[in-house]
Amino acid sequence: MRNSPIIKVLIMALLLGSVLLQTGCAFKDIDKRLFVAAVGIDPSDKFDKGFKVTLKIALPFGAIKSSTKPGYAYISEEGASVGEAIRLLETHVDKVLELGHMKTIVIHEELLAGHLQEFMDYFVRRADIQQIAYVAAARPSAETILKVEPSTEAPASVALFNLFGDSAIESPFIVTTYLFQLRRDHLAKGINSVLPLIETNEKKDELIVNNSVVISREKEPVILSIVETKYYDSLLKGSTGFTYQVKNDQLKLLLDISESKMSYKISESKNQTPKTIEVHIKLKGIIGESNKKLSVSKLDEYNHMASKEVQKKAYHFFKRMQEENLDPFGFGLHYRSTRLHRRDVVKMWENAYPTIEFKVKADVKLQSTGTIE
Amino acid sequence: MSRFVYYLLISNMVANVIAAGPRILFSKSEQGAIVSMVLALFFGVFINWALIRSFKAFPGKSLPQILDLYVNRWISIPILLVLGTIWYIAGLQTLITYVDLLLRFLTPEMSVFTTLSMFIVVISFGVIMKSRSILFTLELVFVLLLPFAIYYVVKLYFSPQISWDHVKLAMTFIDNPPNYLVFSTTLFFFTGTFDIIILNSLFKKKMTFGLKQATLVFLLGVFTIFTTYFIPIGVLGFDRIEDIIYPWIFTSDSIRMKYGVIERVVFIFLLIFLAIAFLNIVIHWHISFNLFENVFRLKKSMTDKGKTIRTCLLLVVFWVVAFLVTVKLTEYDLFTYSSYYFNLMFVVIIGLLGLLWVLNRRAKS
Repeated sequence: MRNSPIIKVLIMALLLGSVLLQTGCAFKDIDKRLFVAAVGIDPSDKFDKGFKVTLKIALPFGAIKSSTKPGYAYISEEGASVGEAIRLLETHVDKVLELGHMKTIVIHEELLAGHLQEFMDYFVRRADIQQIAYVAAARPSAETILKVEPSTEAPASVALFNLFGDSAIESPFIVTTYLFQLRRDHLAKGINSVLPLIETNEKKDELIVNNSVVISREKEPVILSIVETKYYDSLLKGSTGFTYQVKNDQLKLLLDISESKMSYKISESKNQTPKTIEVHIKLKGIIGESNKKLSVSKLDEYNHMASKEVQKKAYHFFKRMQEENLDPFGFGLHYRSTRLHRRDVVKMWENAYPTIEFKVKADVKLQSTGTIE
Repeated sequence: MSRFVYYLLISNMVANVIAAGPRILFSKSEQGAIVSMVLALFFGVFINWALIRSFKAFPGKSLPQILDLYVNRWISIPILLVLGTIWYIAGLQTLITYVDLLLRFLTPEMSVFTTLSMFIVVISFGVIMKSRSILFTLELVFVLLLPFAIYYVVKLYFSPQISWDHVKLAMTFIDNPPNYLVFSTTLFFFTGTFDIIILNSLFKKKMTFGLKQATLVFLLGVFTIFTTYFIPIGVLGFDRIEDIIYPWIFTSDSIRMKYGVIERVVFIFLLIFLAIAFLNIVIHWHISFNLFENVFRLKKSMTDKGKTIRTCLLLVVFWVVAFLVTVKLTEYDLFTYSSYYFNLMFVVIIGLLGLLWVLNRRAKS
């Protein structure tokens, strides 16, 4: 045969010999590393257009049982850019800063105006930072939010991770935005990205997330109220929960929605400019709370009442976004994606959006009044 | 078609998902990518049909053996040289991409030489293996890993984070005139089968390429092309996708498995695709090695010692070129040279099919 044994032996020797080249792990040991849990970015006082970067570092401990509280270290530094500040921070600690496990990026709300590239570039460009990291806005500042250690936080679990991504709490008030989603929506024309807004209480022992921020490349960010955040989450992402309040003169109901869907169609006028957006909302659920005795036979009546209320609230939300010239639902993107590409399609949409007409139709289907009538 | 031929085809498709292919496609996403991909899909099925059909007359014979029978050696030597080089570059291109990826994502602190030498030593072992063993290895890796690869890709399809509006937006560019570069890049997905120019010596049975086989190749092509092109667009957005150097790594880094063993899928994803692409490199270099061996066959009866020396020399050349190129090449070079390579590949494929046609006619007369 052409493969004489000599070559095989030679190659085997080479293979075995290459084992000697390995220095155990190719990288530094785990006890020589510091795991950054979250990064906070604030505007800098010292530098013009600079940033103040705060790192929340999870400290290792021997056994989970022996520690009662999670241990963190916080370091911050100012720099002309995020990368520079982090590079300086590396000299503040004795170990390697490991960003591969960093899962939350918290940004001061003032920084969200305009183009984010200045400080987001670092996170997208670096290969070791995960694209599934959560991004959130912070009030009053990223540093304050990072330093909050909620009283409900257990050792070996980071509260900032549990809030998002439905891994622990699932609530329609909490918007989850991953890093890749932020990049995608921020760069796309015809959609605005939405970030959750993290706040804290006066005692600084709670993290409160129920508002959100719509950001745009051209203008100041706009804060969505609690109700708007909920509608955004349940209409666009199908979030559900125990949270939909509807009321008329006598009756006050709280609905527990288990299924929510939104579909819409953009219709054009004769000269091909977009004219109306017909939104159809479908909700399914049960009644969770009421201020009066209910009757199962009257479910249709409640349906009607709830539909009207949802219709009204959704319409106001759409209208407000239109007045601000923001498009968190991506109507513009949808418009672009349903017309054959023309050069002026984006322009056309941008001109038409401020005056476009919304027709909202809601269908609430309640299936029961809960365990009692 | 023997099942191994499908393996060859699929391994080439999977390896190219990660390598330079997608980036080239995205760079032309507003200049006729879609039409060219559709054209390449049909043409890809056609070249597979043409290839299998032309080898029908020579069951159990590899291309060098056929050339020996019907063509003067002075004609066959340049042909084999060109084909050997082409196949060598096919492997080299994937190799460089993977070394790059490893350095970027898995072992950022390792030197490029260590990574590359580990690769090359193992690949060399594969290269001088018997062809039959390579095919069996391929089957084994497929059985073990392909289900996972498919699982992760399908998971992406059902991910709630994927934005189908972006996918549809990409499709609105369907009316652009086709682009040659995209066409040839997509066509390269289908060239896995061409490895039978050497491996045909193992397929003693006559292979047929009927409607059934054509449909299968077609469906594989549709799935691969759709996944390679549209899924990253859905995850990463259509606007500015051309900025991303490794769209597929970025995409796999955007999958989250809430209850998976590892939440960040990219590491598992990389390892699986690495294993399949690794085999693809081994196969390409094995073909290349065999073609070169047939070129440097000085006497009809070579001694064992002579053969050993030839093997060693060829391997050393393989290594040296790989080292020089990998260390020198920047990402930009890789992108440009890959485009040149894909463009050239199309011509080579047509030439090869033409050659086979001539051989077929000679065999008949």
